Amino acid sequence: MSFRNRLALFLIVTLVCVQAATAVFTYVYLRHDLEEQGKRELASNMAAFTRQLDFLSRRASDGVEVLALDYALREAIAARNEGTELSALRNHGMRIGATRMMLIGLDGAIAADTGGPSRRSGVFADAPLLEAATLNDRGTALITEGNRIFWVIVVPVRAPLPIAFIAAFIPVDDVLLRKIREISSSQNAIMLAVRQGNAWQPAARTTGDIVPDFPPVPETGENTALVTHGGAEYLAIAAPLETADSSRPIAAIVALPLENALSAYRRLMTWMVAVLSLSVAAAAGGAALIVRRFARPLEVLAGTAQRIAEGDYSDPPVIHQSDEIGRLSRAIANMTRAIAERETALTGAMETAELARSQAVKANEAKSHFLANMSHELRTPLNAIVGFGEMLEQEVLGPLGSGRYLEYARHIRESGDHLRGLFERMLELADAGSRKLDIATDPVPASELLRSAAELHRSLAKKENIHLALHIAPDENASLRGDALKLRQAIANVIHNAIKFTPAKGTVAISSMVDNTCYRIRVSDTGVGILPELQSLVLQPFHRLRSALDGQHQGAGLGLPYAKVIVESHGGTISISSEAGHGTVVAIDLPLSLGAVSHAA
Amino acid sequence: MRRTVPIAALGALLLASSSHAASVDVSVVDQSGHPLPDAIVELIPAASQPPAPTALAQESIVDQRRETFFPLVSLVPMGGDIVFTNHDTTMHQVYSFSAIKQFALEVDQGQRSRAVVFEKPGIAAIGCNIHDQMITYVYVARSPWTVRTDASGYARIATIPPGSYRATIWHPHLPAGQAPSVVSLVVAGDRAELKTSLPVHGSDQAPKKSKHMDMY
Repeated sequence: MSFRNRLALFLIVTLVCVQAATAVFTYVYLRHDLEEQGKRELASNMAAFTRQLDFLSRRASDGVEVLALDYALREAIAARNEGTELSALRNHGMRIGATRMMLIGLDGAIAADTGGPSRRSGVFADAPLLEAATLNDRGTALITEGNRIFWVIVVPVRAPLPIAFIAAFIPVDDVLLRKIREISSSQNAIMLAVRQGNAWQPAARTTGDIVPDFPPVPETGENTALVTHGGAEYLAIAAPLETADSSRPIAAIVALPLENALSAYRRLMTWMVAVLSLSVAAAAGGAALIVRRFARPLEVLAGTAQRIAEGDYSDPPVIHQSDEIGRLSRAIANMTRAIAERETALTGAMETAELARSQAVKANEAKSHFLANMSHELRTPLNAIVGFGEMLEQEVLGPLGSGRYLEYARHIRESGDHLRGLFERMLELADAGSRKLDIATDPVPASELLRSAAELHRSLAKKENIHLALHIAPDENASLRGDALKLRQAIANVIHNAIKFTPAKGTVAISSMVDNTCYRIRVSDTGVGILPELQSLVLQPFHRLRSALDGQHQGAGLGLPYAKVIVESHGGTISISSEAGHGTVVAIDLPLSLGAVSHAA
Repeated sequence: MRRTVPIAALGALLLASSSHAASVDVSVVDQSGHPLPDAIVELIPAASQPPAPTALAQESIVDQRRETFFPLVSLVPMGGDIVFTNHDTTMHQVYSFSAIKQFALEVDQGQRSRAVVFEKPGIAAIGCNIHDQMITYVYVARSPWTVRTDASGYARIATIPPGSYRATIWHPHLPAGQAPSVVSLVVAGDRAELKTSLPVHGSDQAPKKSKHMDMY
């Protein structure tokens, strides 16, 4: 799922969840609030209920008290005249609205009873009522009689001491309940019910349309239930009423129409649905906006990065936004241009370098070719010069006459020889440069080779007043493989160079040692030395150190390059280490012939 | 209501021979230890009938002033009588439905009634049919050794033969239904002492005032 879809889904799901949670919470809260309100109302109703009953029955109560003071009744009681008693009770009962009157002795025995649904006899069941009457002049309580509820008022008869009690039974019926509701603050329907076994039987109700079904009421405490009646929902809350001991439990039930409370909720829900719709629309819009501002630019940038990876540096699309995405886009565009420029420059440099290299190679080839050609071309006349010089020197065709001619002839022949040697080496160098050097593979005794190379320059050293020190490895059997003449020339060149650049009274030391499969030659001098940055140059053809070119050193600059070519063509190495003013050491390492080594072993 | 009557003190002192008459000092206190006036103490021989209570005054006056009977308790012997006098500003209708005596008579202000004779022993509660809060009691004694405590809760039986007696102690403010307290007393020598306490309710003499008094 794309970022865009996830975002939109997340926003919408979150909104819907929040709205649903709010709706549920609101409903639960309202329901709870209604319940609490009902319970409070019921609690206050119940607290006030008996007071309201008392208040409403005050007239009846007063009537009973007046009867208790009636002289004739007291006389009849004293005289145990039941007929008079009953007559007085009936007359007075009718006056005060009591449906039943009782005369009760001090011992609780019922002395007279105008009767009710079931005529009582024996002992009045609620002694606490009689006690209350004795102590407070009046005792009242709710009592059930069958399925009906009575408000019982008990008053003592004094003559002047208590001689009996009168009990008046005022029916708590629909009329009385309605009166109670009229004086109470609540206008909700109230019903009183009497417990019959496990069921509750309605005994009185304020209106006829109160819910017929109501929840089970616990003996104590409160209970609530949702009941439906006539298509309307009610929250029924029940609370037990305090009754006389002998009474069955009585419950007061208040039915609160849910419609009233929930209409506010429904209005709220309408608003909430509207808000939800707006929120979802806002979420969708927000998601679209975010997609336009973030998701799509990110996709474009991802494409750009991919193109750069594939080497396409054409101008990437720039996202014109002032936010981070826009900055990122511009940065990527700049980066792309920088990469493109750098790559172009690099390619150009590489082409230039390649061109230069190929030109250099060609030039080198041409040079070598030229040199080879020139050497051949020059050698022929040079042979003639040397040959005829020798003939002159040896006076083959007769004496030259003057000694001076003879000397000149010798100069011609020596110069020719020198030139020819130069050409030979140039040719060889040229051949080496064009890899045309042919190297013989004859066995070459190493120490003999070195010694002969050194001997070549003994006279030169003497002439230059330079001490030539030889430390040749004692192993006479060390053998190389290659061209003895060329190797000797190469080593001789190195020694010659050392002598040439060493001032008088200096020393040129030549040493060798056999190291495993390698024959190591060291030629060290006490000369002027070579600067480190020039050391590699001296091994290249035609380079002579300018600093050393002070007139006293002459040469074609071919000695060391020639040595390098020859040594390397024999599989060896040559290197120079030097400190300016402290002499130079040239190290030549040549591979030993295996046969020679085994022979030596 | 069932309640035991604590006997604070009960004692007899033997100071003289049995041939002499003795006297008994009676003092009654309430449950708080305060002297209890208007308590009746009647001594009846444990083993025989008491002689006729001729020693007691045969006639008593019960006066009515400020809608109140005075005294609260009258003591008469069997056969004795009570005359009600009216020093009030209104008429009174005196009546009793008591077991020992039922009567009703009107007494105008400034008048006195005929003598009401009490033949039977016991207690008669007497009220006024007009003023329900008015109440007085007549204790009809069968023993000559019956006394009523004075304001300090004290009374004296001057002459009584030594012997064993049952002492009945009664007061109008005994709790409703509460039977009089009965204790045994042995009188030996010439002086005996009876100290007892009674639980009574309230300190006001009359029962609660009726709120309907004004109706008449």
